[in-house]
Amino acid sequence: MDSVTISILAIVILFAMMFVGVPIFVALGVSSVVGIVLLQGFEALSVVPGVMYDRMASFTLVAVPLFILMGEIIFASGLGSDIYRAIRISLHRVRGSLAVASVIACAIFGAMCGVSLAGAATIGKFAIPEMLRAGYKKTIATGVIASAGSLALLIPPSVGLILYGLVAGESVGYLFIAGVIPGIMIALMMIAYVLVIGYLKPDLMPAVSLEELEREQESGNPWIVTIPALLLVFAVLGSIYFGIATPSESAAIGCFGAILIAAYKRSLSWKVIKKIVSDATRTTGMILAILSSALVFGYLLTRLRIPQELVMWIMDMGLDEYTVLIAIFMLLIVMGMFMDVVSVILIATPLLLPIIKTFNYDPIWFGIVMAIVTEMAVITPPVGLNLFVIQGISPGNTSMMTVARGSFPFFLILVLAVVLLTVFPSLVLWLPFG
Amino acid sequence: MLSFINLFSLTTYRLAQVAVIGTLAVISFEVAARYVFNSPTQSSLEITEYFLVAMGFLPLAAIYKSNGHVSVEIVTMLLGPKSQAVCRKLALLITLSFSLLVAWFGFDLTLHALQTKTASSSLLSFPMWIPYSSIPLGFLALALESLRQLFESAATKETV
Repeated sequence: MDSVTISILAIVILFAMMFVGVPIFVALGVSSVVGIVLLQGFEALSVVPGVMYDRMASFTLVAVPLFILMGEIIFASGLGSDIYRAIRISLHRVRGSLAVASVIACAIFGAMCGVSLAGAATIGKFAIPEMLRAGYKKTIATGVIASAGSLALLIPPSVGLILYGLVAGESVGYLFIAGVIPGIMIALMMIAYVLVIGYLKPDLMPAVSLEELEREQESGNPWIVTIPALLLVFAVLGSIYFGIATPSESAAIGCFGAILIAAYKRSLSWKVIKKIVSDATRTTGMILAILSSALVFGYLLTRLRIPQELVMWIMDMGLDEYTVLIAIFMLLIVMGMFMDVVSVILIATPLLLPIIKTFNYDPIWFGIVMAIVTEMAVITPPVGLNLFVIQGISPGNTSMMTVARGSFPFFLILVLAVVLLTVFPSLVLWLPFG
Repeated sequence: MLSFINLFSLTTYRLAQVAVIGTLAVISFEVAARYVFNSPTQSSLEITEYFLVAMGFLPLAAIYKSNGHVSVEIVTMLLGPKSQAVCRKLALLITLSFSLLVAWFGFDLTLHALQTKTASSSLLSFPMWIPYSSIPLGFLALALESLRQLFESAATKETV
């Protein structure tokens, strides 16, 4: 059987199994196994555990469980509410202050957490009820949190960027640093949108009452713990940027800082610690399971020379680079509509990166743009992870379409950001490469 | 049998938790050794890689038990209850077959490393069968867990 037929068969098996409800890591593994048997025979399957082991035992990946652990500690510490309160009190004069505070709090939380769910769930849990109490429209209140929560996928430390770095063979440190300017840029674009809407349609975001603000101020100064949290963010990212520590070492520093902050807030009981370790183990295991199978899938693709064949096919078609880029972005968005972010990154990177390199785009740039496209995916139905989370934590009967409608303007902001970064790639590459 | 499957799954999960804490401890020690005492260790990098492999494979069954692995449910949600049950059994069978296959070849890899006394090429000269064993152990636990769920779903149907 020729390589094209085998690869088509493997991809058909992959999608067929995914749609039957087989866990993605198993679907990836089985399609790879079938491909390997068809290509090299049953005996060749002995390479499967070896491929899984050799490529997973990587020091780069050690940052994944540590950043997840750091996120879980921050999540359990209740720091999210302090960050949100500190910002919303400081911004109380601004129209749409609660929505602006939500975006900033999600961005800061994203700088301490590697996954988008934690930020959206943590900030959303108290910010959405508060916005609704203040008279905000449900679409705005839920949409802003779902979308701003996705910033964690881009703002370092991002687990998605670590996985991309591993599969693409790029420096995770460079990827983290490259994500800073686009992350801040998108957060500012989201804030600008909220401010403009607040100005043009004040009934969508009424001002917060003075009584509520006074009551808020009486319950202590939230900046007392927010400032150390911000210092922790600078310590983690600064140590990577200045080359003082590797991402894994800075993750360990971050974990210790997070433990100190949580201990100061007296939120670390034995029960909480057990839950933190348990949740971190589950999230890490879930991600690494997909990674291990994706590595075998990548091995099959390499043996079949599919990335090279794909590049030649595209070159033969004579498409210009922008058509190819648009096609790639559309493919990523469609994949993200049905799959989780980790799977999208791990399946798409080995296939698409050679094409990107052919058109002389920088792999670091592509990693960042891919992270933004996956941000779009988590706020796009039918399988937008953040949409489900926000629907789950919103009070009353909130439909997923309400959240999706509220997220749509932010989806357009992300599209605009991708266009900007494509036209001006130096926005991504300036910080890591000067 | 059921209690053995639960115990096996719980044990592998606890080992993965130990690996998470171990990674934090080893990297923190390395940070302190390098930046505070200016004497970096030789083997922390290697040990954390072994922990990482344990974190990847050992908790597979526990995560599966709590429905924590990512899967696409959008299509099966559109089906009727009978078709959903068929899909679920099919998914369990596929998971069982795949995990048995990887466990088998993983066991082969581990046994070979044990018999040939394969060790890491570093100063630590770590016996490689130990980190390799995470693969057969994790996938065997997953196979047993999917088998348990398969029996459970068959029993549920009989009760109905």
